[in-house]
Amino acid sequence: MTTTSTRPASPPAGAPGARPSDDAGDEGPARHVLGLLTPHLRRPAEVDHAAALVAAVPGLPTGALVGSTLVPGAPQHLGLVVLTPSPLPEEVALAVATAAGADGAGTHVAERATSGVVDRVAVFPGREHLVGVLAARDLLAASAVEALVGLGGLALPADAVVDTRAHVRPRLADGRLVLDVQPSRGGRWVPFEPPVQHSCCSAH
Amino acid sequence: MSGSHHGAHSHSHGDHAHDHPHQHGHPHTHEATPVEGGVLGEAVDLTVPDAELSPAALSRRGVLRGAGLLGAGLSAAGAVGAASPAAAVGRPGGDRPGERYQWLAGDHHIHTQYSPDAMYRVSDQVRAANQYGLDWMVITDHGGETHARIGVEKTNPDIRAARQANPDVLVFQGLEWNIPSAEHGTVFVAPGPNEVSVLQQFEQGYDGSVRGASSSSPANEALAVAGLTFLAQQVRDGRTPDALMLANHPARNGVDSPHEIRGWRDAPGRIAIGMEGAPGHQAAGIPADALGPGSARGYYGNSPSANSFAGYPLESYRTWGGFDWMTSTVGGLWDSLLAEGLPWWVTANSDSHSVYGDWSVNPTGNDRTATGPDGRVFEVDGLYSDPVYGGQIQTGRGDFWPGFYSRTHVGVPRAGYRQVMAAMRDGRVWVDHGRLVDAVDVRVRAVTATSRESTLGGSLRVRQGDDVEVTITVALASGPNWATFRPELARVDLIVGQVTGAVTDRDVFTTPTTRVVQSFDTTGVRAQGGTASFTYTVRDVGGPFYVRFRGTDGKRSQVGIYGAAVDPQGPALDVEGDADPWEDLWFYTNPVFVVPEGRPRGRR
Repeated sequence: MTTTSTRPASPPAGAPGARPSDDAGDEGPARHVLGLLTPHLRRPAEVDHAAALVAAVPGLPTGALVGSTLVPGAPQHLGLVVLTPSPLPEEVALAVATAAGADGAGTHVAERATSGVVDRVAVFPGREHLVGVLAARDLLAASAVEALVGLGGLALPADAVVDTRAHVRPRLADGRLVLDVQPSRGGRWVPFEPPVQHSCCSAH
Repeated sequence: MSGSHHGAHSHSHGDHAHDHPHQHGHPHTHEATPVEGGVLGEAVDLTVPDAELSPAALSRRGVLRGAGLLGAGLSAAGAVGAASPAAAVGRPGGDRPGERYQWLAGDHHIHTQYSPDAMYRVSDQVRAANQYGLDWMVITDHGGETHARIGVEKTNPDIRAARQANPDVLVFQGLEWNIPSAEHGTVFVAPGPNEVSVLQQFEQGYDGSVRGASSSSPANEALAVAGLTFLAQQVRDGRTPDALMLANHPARNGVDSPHEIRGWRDAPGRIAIGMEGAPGHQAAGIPADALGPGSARGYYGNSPSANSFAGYPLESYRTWGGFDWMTSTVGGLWDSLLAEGLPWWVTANSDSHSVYGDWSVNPTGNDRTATGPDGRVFEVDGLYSDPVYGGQIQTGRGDFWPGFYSRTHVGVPRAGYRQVMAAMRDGRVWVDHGRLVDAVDVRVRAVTATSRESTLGGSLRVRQGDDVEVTITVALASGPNWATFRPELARVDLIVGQVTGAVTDRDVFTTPTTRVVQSFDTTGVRAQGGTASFTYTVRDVGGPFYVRFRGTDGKRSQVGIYGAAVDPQGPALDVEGDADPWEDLWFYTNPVFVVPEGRPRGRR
C-alpha cells in the first residue's frame, strides 16, 4: 500500500475560515492520498460508517479528510479515499485499509483525489462544530469548508444562514472543500445532501 | 375564439426566426431526383406511412433510416450527402393532421394495496380518478417477488370489476417495473385475455427486484433491453394488442443514465416511448407550517449513490417547478433526445400511494408480514387488508389522488384502450398541473401549403426554404381546480431546437441550439374570452427542427440552467420543505418536428 501526494493549488483544507480564492498560489502543504478499493460501499450511509472507523484509527494525522468518489465499472461503487497533510506510516495505512474493509488500493479514487476531486467528504476538520443553524461565515470559520455553492447556480447572499441539520458533507473540487447548499424554508439554506435519503418503495 | 384580440395574437418575423432552425450551408441548388421504384420502391416513398408498408418495405425503410439515408428526401445528392443533419433524421411521428381530437386526461402511475408501500383498493383509486376527471388510468403496483408470484394475478379481477363499475374510465393493468440497472418505469398492456400472463411473465423474467438486477451494470442494462424486447415480441405474436413503457421519476436518484434511456428508446418495437416529465408526490413539498409533509416536492430530495450516473450535476436530483430536471431544463436531456430527431415523450402522473389529507390508514402500517384485520398478510396474500378509518387527517403524506393535480392529456380520434396507447406512442400528449388550462392545441404548417399540418408528436414535411407557421391555441381554465381556485395562465413559451441527428456520445445530455425563442403574455386573455391563439413563423427553413411549448402561472421563475439566452424565465428550483404545488403551475406540450425535404418550392 503506497500513498501519493498532491500539492493543491488552493489554501490548505485544514485552515479554518479559508475563503475561496482565485489565487492559484501553491503554498499549501502537500496532501497525501490513500485510495482504497471498497466495492462493498454503495450507499452514502455506508461510507459514513466506514469513514468514521477510519477517522478513529490511531496515528491518523490531524487534518485528515476521509471521503468517497463514485467508481464506475462492475461493480460500480463508492471508493473510499483518505487525504492527509503528512504521509501515512505504513502501519497506519494498513490499519486504515483494515478499518475501511478495503480489498486493496483504489486507483480511480486516488487519481481523482490527486487531481483535487473527491465527490463527497465525510470526515474533515471542524465537522463536529457544524450542528444547528449557523451563519454562513461562522460555518466557514468553524470548519475546513472553504466555500458554499448554491445549487443550480443560485447566488448566496453574504448573510446567508445555513440549517446544517447536523449533516454536512462537502466535496473536494479543484482541491478546495466546498459545500453545495439549496434554499430551504424561511429563507434559510440547507446542505444539498439530506440526513436521510427517501427510499421509495420496496425494490431498492 | 378571441385570438385576434390585443396581446393574444402575436406574429414573429424573420429576425427571430432566421438565426435558429435555418441550417446554413445546405446545398440548395442541386436538382433533386427522387428515387422511385426499383429496389427501394415504397420504402423510400415517404408519402406512404410506416403503417401501410409491407413488413419487408418497413424493414428496408428502417435500415435506410438507421443509415441516415432517409428523411431528407432521398435525392441523388441527398443520398450522397447523407451526413448532413437533414439526412440524419427520419420523420419520427409522421403526419399528424390537426383534426379534432378528443383529449382524454389520464395518469399512468398509480399504486394500490397490492404495493408494499401503498394502501388503497383498486376501486378506491378508480373511483377517485373518475371523480377528479380522469378518462384513463394505469394501475402500476410495484414489481417484486410477491407481486410477480401472486399480486399481479389477484389485481386483475379487481381491475375488471372497476371497469364495470366505472364505465367512463379506461382502467389499464400494468406494473411499476424495477428497471434492471435503473429507476422505475411504468409498463402496461392493452386489456385482453393475456393481460395477466404477459405482465406476469415479463415481471418474473425482467424485473430488477425479482431478478436481483437493480444495481448498475452492463449485464443488468442488457436485461432491461431484453425485457423491452420480450414485450415487443408479445405484441408481434398477438399475445397482447399493445404494450408501452415509460420511465418514472427518471432523475430522482440519478440512476437513469442518458445511454440507458437511449437504449430503451432504441429497443425493438418502440415499447419505451417516454418518461415522466413531472413525477408524482407533488404534495410532498407542502410546508410543515401549512400542515404539509415538509419534504421535497416529488420526494426529489436525495443525493448520488453508487448506482448513479456520475455525469449528472447535483441540481438534477431536484424538481424545477415540479418537473423533473430532464424535462424542465431547456437544452437539457429531453432536448438532447429530441435533437436526435427521434420520438421521446413526457407525461405527468400522481404516483399515488397514500394521499395527503386523507383520513384512512393501512391497518398494518405497511408491515408486509403483519396480519391485517381480515387475516391478510401482504407477503403471503399479495395485498394488504383494506384501508380503515384512521381517526385523524393524514398530513404527513406526499401524494394526491389521481386527477387531483397531475394530468396527462392524450389526443385520440375516439375513446378506447388501444386508441389511448396508440396516441401515447404517437406523442399526441400534453400535461398540466393544477388544471392550469382547459385545452392546448398546436398546429404546424408551411405558410404556402396550409392544407397539410402536424400537431403534437407529429412531423411535418415541408420544402427547403419554406416558411413554417407554428400556432398554439390555449383555452384558459374556465373553472376552479381541485384546490377550488381558478388558475390564471400568465405566459406561454415557445421552445425551438435544431434536429442535429444521431449522437456519437450516448451519454450526452445537452444540445446547444434549443432555446426559448418567444414568450407570449397571456395575462389579458381572460378578459377577452379566455381563449387565445399565438403564431410564430420560422422563415426560410433549411434544416430539420422541432418546436414545443410550455406555459406557467408565472408565480415562480428563474433563469434557466444554461443561461438567459437559452431560457430567461425557466422554472425555479423547488425549495426543500417549502414547495406549495398550487402556487407554481406549469403545462408542457410534446414537440412537433419539421423536416424539410426535396427541392425548394418554386425552384424548378
